[in-house]
Amino acid sequence: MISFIGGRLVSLVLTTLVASVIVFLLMQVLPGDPAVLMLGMNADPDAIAALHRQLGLDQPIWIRYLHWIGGFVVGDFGMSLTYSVPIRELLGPRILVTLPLALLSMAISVVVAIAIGVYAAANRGKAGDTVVMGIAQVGVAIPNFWLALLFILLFALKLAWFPASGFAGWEGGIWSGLHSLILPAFALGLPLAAILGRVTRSAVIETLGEDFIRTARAKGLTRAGALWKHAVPNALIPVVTIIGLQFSFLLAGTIIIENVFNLPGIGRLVFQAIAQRDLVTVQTLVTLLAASVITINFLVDLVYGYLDPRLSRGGH
Amino acid sequence: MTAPLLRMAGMSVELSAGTSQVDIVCDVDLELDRGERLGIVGESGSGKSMTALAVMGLLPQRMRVRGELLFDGRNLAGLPEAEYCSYRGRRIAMIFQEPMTALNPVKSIGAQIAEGRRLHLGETRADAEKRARALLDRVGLPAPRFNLDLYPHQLSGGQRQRVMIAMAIACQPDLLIADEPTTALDVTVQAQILDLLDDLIEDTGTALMLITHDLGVVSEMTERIAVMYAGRIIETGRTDDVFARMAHPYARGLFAASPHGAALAPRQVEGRPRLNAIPGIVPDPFARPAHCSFAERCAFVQPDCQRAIPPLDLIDTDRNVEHRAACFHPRERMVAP
Repeated sequence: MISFIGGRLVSLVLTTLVASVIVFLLMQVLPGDPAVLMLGMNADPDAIAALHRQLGLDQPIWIRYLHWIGGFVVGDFGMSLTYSVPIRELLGPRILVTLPLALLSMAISVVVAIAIGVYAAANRGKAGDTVVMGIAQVGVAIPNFWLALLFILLFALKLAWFPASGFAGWEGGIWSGLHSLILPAFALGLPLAAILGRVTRSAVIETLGEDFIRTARAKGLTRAGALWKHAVPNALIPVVTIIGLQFSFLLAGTIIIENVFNLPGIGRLVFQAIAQRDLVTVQTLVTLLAASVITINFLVDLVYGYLDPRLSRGGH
Repeated sequence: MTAPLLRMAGMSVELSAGTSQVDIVCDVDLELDRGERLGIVGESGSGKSMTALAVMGLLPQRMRVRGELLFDGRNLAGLPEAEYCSYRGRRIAMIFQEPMTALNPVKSIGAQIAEGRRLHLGETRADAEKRARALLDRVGLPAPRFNLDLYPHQLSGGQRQRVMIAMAIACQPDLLIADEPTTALDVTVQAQILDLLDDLIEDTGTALMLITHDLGVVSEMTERIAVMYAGRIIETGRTDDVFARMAHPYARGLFAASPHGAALAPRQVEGRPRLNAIPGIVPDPFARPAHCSFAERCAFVQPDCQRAIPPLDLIDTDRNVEHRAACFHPRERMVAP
């Protein structure tokens, strides 16, 4: 188990480094000189050259990479070109919006998916299965921003249960922050739940056909007992795989959803940084997002080892 | 005389496919006393496994039981599901054919053995696991090599089948059904598992219903047998008597087709003994004839065989056990002494 985790950790670090190189190179080949952008098209060439020196843009590319990644490792991400403040200071409050939003969406997606997937599998071919999976089919097709607009119309404007946009902050207590995140989290999580629910359904149906389910029934377990105690634990293995894969969709979704709900999170920061050609900020944020996706997949691997003893324990 | 532990009377298993219905198992009469060992033999598709699953109440969805299926005086046919669950694993237990897939791969063997006792006897986890430890010792998987926290993938096929047996006997059932318990195992392991089963049955006084196509296994393990063909019992009686006479031509064919039978039978020609295959195939359950279902494959067929289904007639009685065969022209000559 130790060597399993160790091996995964090494691959986690290497993958993140490769991702950072790709992101850095992409930023270099993008057209547009940040100095020209900052000073304007008609700026004096001497001033531009001075700014190049100040930003380190006159250095060779690999020096600039090492400088950036060296700072990245110790948490010094450099200065934002547009805000002229350290990127780290931009991140702090925004992570407190995006992280809870991502976790809440993930939780909604997993709970809803397992509930509808197991229900549909247990009632395979009956009316309940058809209805639930029909709704899920529609859910797969609905884009999250459209769902977000519907939620705003219904729950914010018509029923006034939740704010239509903005973030109240955590200063007023957990509820004040959570209150503004509930609609975005559902808008983000439900379309993912639709996909995950279908995966759960087919995984549970497959395990329900296994011999060990019949063994469990022969032992005296009820249909529901065999379902929850024997089928679901086995079906979770493919479900967890999809959860890991969905995390990257979820992060991409936060960029859209944070803009729809006007939430001051990482997604919105990325969006603005791209629009303003704040290249240092963009490459830092994108690398951080890549690192978090890689980390989640590392956690998924650990969960595998827990869910499936065949992976973490040797054979005979 | 007390009532038998298990009594099937005119029991059929009906399969509904679309609008048509067909009896996979037809009109079976069979009794099993406490502590008795009964073998059910027949080739694939003869309905022997369905008979076992009917007793367990675990038939596939589109199948149902008709007729009488009495267990300890209680008719199990149509018993509410919740009540059936209190019989399964507690009073009737079953061992399946495939030890490689019959155990849950993500649960430890200790948890899987203890599960039945916690469920039926309400034991705490600690008590049930203590009992699971004793059961593992009993089936020949001693500590510390075989701990409760092992997972099925860490065991061989024979060891897994021992775990299956430990699970089945965990609540000391009155009836143990073993459906081809050794078919998937190596020959040497087969003998060990059969010895273990033999021992356990001897010790606990559990009744055994052994389902197999292996005539060698039934002759060693059982006192009585029922030979099934196309969903019906075609010959039944004391194992020794049935083996000695093989009154039904199908029973003879089955015997001649098995290595065990061929080794016992006198050689007719010099050289390597050959197994005799039964010509033809088992009739499709949807197209079973209205006469003897073996008539088309039978070497001794007579005109009346093609007119009616032969009843399971008494042909002999030995030590109070009836020997019956469903044949209009039962064979008289003994095949073995």
